[in-house]
Amino acid sequence: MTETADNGYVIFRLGDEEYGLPVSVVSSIIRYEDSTPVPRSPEAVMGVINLRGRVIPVIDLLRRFKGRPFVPGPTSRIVVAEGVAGPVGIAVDAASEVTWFESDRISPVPDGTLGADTARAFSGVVERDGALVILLDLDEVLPRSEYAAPGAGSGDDSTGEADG
Amino acid sequence: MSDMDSYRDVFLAESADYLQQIVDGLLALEAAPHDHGPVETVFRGAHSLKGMSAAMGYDRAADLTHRMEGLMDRVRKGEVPVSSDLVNLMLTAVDFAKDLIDDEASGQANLDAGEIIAAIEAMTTGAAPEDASASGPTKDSDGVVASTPSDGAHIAAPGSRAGGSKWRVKVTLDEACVLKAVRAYMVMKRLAHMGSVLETSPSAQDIEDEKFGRSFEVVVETPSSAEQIREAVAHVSEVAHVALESLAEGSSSIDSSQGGPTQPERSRRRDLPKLSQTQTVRVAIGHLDTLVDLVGELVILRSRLESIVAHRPDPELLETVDELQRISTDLQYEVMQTRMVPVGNIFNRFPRMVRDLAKDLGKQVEFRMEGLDIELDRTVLDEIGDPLVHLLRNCIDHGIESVSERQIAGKSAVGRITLSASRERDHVAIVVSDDGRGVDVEKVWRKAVERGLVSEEDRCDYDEGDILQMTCLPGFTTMDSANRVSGRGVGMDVVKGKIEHLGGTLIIRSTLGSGTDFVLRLPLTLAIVQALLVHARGQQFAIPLSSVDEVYSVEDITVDTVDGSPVVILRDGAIVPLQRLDALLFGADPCALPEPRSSVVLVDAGAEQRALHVDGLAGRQEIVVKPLSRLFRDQKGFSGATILGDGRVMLIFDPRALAMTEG
Repeated sequence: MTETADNGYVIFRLGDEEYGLPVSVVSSIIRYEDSTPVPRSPEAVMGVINLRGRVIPVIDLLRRFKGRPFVPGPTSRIVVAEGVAGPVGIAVDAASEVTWFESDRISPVPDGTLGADTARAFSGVVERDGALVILLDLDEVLPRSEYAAPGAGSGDDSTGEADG
Repeated sequence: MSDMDSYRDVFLAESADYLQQIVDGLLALEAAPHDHGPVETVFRGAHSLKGMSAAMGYDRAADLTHRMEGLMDRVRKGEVPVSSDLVNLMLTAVDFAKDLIDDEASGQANLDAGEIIAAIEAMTTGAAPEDASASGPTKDSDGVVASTPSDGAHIAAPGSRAGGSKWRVKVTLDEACVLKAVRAYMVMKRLAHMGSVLETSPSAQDIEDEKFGRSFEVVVETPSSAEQIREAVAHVSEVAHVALESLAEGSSSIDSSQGGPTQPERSRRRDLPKLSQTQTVRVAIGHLDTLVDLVGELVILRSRLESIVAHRPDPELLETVDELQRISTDLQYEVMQTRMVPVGNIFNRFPRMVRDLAKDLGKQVEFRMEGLDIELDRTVLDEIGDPLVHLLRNCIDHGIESVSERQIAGKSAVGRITLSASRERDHVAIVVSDDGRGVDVEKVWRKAVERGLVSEEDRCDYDEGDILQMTCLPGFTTMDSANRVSGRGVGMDVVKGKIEHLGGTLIIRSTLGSGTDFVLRLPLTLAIVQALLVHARGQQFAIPLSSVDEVYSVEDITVDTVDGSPVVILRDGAIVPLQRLDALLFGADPCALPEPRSSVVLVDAGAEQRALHVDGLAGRQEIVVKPLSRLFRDQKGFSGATILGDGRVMLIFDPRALAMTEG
């Protein structure tokens, strides 16, 4: 199997599931630290942290997918990834490895098993050691601002940047 | 990058300066056709461009600028009159030269300057023969009066206000001077900084080749005094003696051929921006941004060190940290200073734009700029160019009436637009004002009612300023028909949004029939600000000190309620709505009355004052402003974040969020 950035995934554990984010979007993995809460922000935003002089948001995917809050433990990490909205951190229970999946092993998310919003965030599933790894689409994973206009599409996030 | 590529970048940057210099000169010339100074400026600009283009091997640009120089040379000698045709032709030529340079720099050959060169040649040669004898005004196509300088006196009599007076400076070097050419070069350079070097004796080439004895002469035109010239020249080492002779001639000959002034422009001269008066270096913007980031980190590290020292009272350590504090403050100031750019840098393109637009719309406009040397942070300045263009267009298009309308209203035919910058505390105010028809507040109100934005019965709740602000709502226009310039209702909302995004405010003042002012207040810099630290529900927030008017302990003020909403009654009797930070951010009861020992901060929430209740104050600190992630971009309430000494993040509260939530 060829190991290229195209099919490499950073695997992390969150709750009872394993997830994968493409290596190409992950910039670093840091030890978990408490963040500064941002009042009035979407629920899935835990807050902001200082990453080497930059202020980046930390996302709670457990809250996003399962509706319960992330509880930090000794192995907790923050996976820092570069999305269309700039760098974001994702709080995870553990993250340790990078795995390469050949594209024909990745299957689409089964229809009808998930809500539309969640389904969009999953780019596919792949079986590994008898368990399923859920592959994520970073930009779809991010919570949308509560104030965003309804119907503002996904790839649309970069528009309006001219004045940003 | 090859050598040629790096030369090209320098060339492109410098040629832009020269092109601007030519445009400035032409506009000055149009305003004061008898002025010798601008002619010289345009000539020198074309001359420099020619030399640079030729050096780069851009033959077409070199040829065109050569013709431009040739034409200006004849103007300079009084052989071709200054007319609006001349100015128009030269402006067209400048535009073409710009395109030509871009064309050649990108290695293409799409443009042919044949036509414009032919036009320049026609004017250069055609106008000459008759003009040598003619003395009356010549072509006068659109109101700019052109007269022909017919005698030598005119050329010899410079525009004393723009160019200054002429001096013959005789410089004698030390007998022992070895590097005569170098010293001479330094003298000339100093003189060139003070004004313009008109001629030298022996020639500049000979001086450069050291073909002169111990002394040489320079004729310089400068606004500086004899003493300043003497001092500047004597400052060059190995200068033994400086002699000055004033070449001022009967200044009465200035304007002697001018008839009764029919145009206000005739008596007015535009001040030309001085060519670099100080030594400057071009620096890539990226380096400056990195510097600011690094200084920001240093400031953070410094406050971290200070908090460590606070727990370890070691006198030596304390002293060192004090020293570090002083040096980093100075460093920070200097770095921020390098990012400050005079507003003139973006204002300078407006005279041309205003002129062209006014011509297109058949209006007569006198455009004036003030405070060009007021400085703003580059990031702020870069952002306000477009909003200003929009406001100026608005003034010309909507503000200034047609000539006939103005005459009926008893105003002078020429409309006046002023763009001025001034410094007030840690803000810069930029005002765009016109003496046009003004905004019809009632018409705006009716439009707003029609659009369902407000209801008629609330009329008394809105004052004039509030209603004028409605013109900044998206899609709002009072124009009955849109034209290509403006009036489509896009724009004012964008302008206001942009200014507020920069942490500034936009206020509109207007008097029906006599004009409109747009007042922009902008922060000097965005990167490092003084902030008041407050807390609510155990979390600290920073409020930029620039928007804090006053801080009260709750015991010192009177809190009351109006319709159940808390208000604060100030000592002077003013009543200000009181809002709770914990209600705003954490959903606490907005009507709860302040607890004992809490505080109230009087803040500037955009256009109005609000009282903000906080649980407590935590001092004042210099903070480095970091942008919040774009994930939060639609969220009002925070203008950014900062990193504290211990590495933690604190949010910067934006008081303008107070005005957005009603009640």
